Amino acid sequence: MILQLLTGGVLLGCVYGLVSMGLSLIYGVMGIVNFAHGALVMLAMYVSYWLNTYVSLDPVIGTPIIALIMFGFGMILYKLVIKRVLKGPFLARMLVTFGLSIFFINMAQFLWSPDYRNIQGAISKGTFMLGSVFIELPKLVASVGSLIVAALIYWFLRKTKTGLAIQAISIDRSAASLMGINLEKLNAIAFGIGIACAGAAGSLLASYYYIFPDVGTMFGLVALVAVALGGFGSTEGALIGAILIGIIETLGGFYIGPEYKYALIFLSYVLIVIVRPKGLMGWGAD
Amino acid sequence: MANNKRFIYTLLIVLGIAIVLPLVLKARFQQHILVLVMLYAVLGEAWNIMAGYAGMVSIGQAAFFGIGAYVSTILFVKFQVNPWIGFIAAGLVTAAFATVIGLPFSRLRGRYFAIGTIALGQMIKVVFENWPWVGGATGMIIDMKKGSFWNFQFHASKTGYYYIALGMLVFVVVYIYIMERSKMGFYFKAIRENEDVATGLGVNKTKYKLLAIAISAGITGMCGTILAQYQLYVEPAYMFDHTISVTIALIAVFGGSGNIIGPILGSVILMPISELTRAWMGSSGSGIDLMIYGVFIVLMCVFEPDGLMGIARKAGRRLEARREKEVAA
Amino acid sequence: MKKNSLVVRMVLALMMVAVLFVPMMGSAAPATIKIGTIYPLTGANATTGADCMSGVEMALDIINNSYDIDFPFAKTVGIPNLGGAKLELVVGDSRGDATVGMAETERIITESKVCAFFGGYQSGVVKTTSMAAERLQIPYVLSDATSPTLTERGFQWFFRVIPHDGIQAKNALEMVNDIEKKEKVDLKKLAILWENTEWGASVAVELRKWAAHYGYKLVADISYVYKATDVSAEVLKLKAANPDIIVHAAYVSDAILFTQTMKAMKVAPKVFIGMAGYLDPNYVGTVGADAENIFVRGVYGLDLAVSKPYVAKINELYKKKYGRDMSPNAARSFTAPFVIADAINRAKSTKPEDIRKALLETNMPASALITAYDGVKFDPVTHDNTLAKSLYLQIQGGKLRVVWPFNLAAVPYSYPFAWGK
Repeated sequence: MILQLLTGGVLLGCVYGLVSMGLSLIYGVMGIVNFAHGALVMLAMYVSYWLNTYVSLDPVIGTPIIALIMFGFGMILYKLVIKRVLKGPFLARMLVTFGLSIFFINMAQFLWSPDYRNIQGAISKGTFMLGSVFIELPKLVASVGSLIVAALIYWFLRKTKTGLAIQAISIDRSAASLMGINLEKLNAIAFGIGIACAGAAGSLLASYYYIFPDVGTMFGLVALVAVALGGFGSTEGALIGAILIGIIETLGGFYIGPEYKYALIFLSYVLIVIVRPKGLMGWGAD
Repeated sequence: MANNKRFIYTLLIVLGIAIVLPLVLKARFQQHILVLVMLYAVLGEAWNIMAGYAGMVSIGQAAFFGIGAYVSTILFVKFQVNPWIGFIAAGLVTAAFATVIGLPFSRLRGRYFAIGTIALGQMIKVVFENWPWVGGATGMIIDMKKGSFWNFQFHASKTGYYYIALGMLVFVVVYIYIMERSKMGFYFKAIRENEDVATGLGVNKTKYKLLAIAISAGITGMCGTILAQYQLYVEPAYMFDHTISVTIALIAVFGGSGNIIGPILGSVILMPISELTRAWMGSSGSGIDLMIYGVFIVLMCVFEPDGLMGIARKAGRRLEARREKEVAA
Repeated sequence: MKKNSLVVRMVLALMMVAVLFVPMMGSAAPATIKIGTIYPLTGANATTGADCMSGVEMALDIINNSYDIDFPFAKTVGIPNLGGAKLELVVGDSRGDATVGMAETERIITESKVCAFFGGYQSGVVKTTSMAAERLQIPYVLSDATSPTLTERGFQWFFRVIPHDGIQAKNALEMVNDIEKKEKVDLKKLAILWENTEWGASVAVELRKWAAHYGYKLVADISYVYKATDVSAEVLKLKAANPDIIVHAAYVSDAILFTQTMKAMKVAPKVFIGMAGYLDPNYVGTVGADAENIFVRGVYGLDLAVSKPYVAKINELYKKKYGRDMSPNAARSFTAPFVIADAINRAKSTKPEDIRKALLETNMPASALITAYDGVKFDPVTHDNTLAKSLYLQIQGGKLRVVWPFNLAAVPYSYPFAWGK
């Protein structure tokens, strides 16, 4: 049983991680705690749904395409809204994402009604047994996707010029700009990539999860805690935090009681942060 | 100093209007909006003490709010204690709770603190959901008594609730006004601006952080009692609702945090918009009312990141400049 | 940039002013009787709220217009005893929140001067909406929230048509008992699974009570957050308990999630009973064939058309309008406007006090209802419907078929439960 619970927890954690990494990247570069991230995952799920309905694109195969669409959307969002609040105080930067979240959720209801939708016949379906452990294929696929995304981000941040520049920004904005780094452009790219991660998350989730306007809220909240747990600004930290949360959720839910599982997640966050005020792997200013 | 006097006179005029307002706006829904405006103005001010002045941004005020609501309700339902005593008890218990919780929390900074408060709100909710003695998820119903000031229940009109909330607001505003000018106020701001420097200057950081949290929580808890008496029903799902926490922060930031007027302005503008758009368009079920609300907040942040107070200050400066020009001419 | 932002600020200000004043210009159409209602039209339960509303709209359509159906108020236009006055609906959105629900109810009652109120769907919300109506002395007819505590408050103006959770929980176990007898099996291990808000908690209380009464052994008693993103832990707990019977009190999203996870983990009880969320068209629409053979608590099924031909005709109308069969949720919300219309018609008045008196004397026969109740007659003290009764349906071939009580069954039930391929 414990093996089953651990497997389930890790898989769930990877799914959370997918949502968390974009959130962490955005924070690291521009210091925005994106409360609208859950809503953006929801939008990506709808995009995935419509692409499946009209051009029968499988959500798993379509993941890169949806990530690309969301990348574009993120850039636009950055140009229209985020850019303008970057210079504002921390509270305004937080408030704006609350506003966006309320707007997107209700826009989805306005455009597509509150009905539940799901994608029938995605290629990743069903379960299989590995020894005595059940594994749900769609979750496994999502987890693999999550690891791929993590690897891509890792590669991008460390091996590409743009990535290195983005890292430079998150370490020291003013120094980076003095060195001739184009902050504006890089901010837009980083924000776009963050939203693209939300896009990938939405697309992979859509392959097995139902879709409705409020679907992203809980994912967004858990992801936020995962990011904080891992330490703001660290994408690896976000993934590790998310996996930890997945394990706490399944193990705690089973042994202590499902009614307490979210309380346990939050409690462990508080305990960890009290001991390590910058999360597991966080750095930089608070 | 003249400026100060003008400020106080303006406040008194506004207070006068606030006292007369429910006599003009008599419709029940209008009065409901007035009650909410007052309640959230107080909640916003309480948030302000903690976040605006002392720099600890909380998105979990619902924890304190709900505890306050439950304290007075438990006293009334289980022990037949008058809600007014419950009202005071709510403030004390919540403040005490906040002090205990605040001890570990005061180690957290910035975003980690903010997300910690979200976590706190969710945890407390779960505790109450699974506590059979207080009704668990079913909550508790407060028996309807004859409407009177003594019973803390008003049925024919809502003005009673309004004036109680207004009274609290006056009390809180006066308190903050004094606090702003006291040693405590300076220490709060010092902690907000730079914790480490403040400590270096000999400010007992933990003590003042705890004070800010306790005062803020106590006031918030008392507001919880007002809402419990207002709807005569407490249930964890509603009293500890995350939306309450978000709305409180929204209102204060929207109005402009870190000064007395901001949260009041925020509540005066935001609550009627939210309520009236719903009344006007909510029945279609299309979510369009909340879309407008969302857009409104985004536009505000984009064009006036300092909140409504930013607009007011700019307008004031412009006026001042014009006057000077006139004087010069 | 500076100029630009000034313009935007002015637009903002104008928008605000507009928003503040538009609602004040309410229209007052004469000769209609206004009744108010409220449902969760936004938020997590929005889809069910919309489903309920379509039932309500259908009811008003039938009352207000003339249709050739053998049903009260169908052939006539409006309320006959008031010169054919039509009912006008004033709708509010509770957002699934108790405070908002109360404010909206008060607003609708006082601003639109409605003479009666109904609806609510979530028990927690109805606690405050019914309180608002009680304070303002407006009759409130509830046909869609089932928490027993609602009618334990001694309210004067509050009436409930639907059977409460106590009766429904009892019926669930009665059905299991009947199945055991018929199949000559002995099912002992019961698991109850409930979403942790007001409604789920009160279902759980009632189920525990009746489980003890009927001698079932409670092997799992699991509560959870209905907004949960994942329920593996819950389902694994169920699996460890290995129950014969599962009773699940759920809203829609959690019903879907549990069904998918239980199938994935191969948790298969012999009898699987779902409530509320399982009735939503979105549920079967989303899980498809996985819903097969789940028993669902309900008060309505299209199969009732066998004994009540008008049920089919009303469903025809409904299908024309909304493109799908009437769901049990829509059907139970459909009932309240008729109970109110009946009371107004007998009272020959739109005064709230007269309507309240008429409601107390309500005596509607089964033939005036599309639901399975034996009629509507309110208990003089609690104001619960003494003739209320619930049905059990089973999802067969993607449709909800009536299978219990056996004398009303349209098709035989299928036993035991098993997951399809």
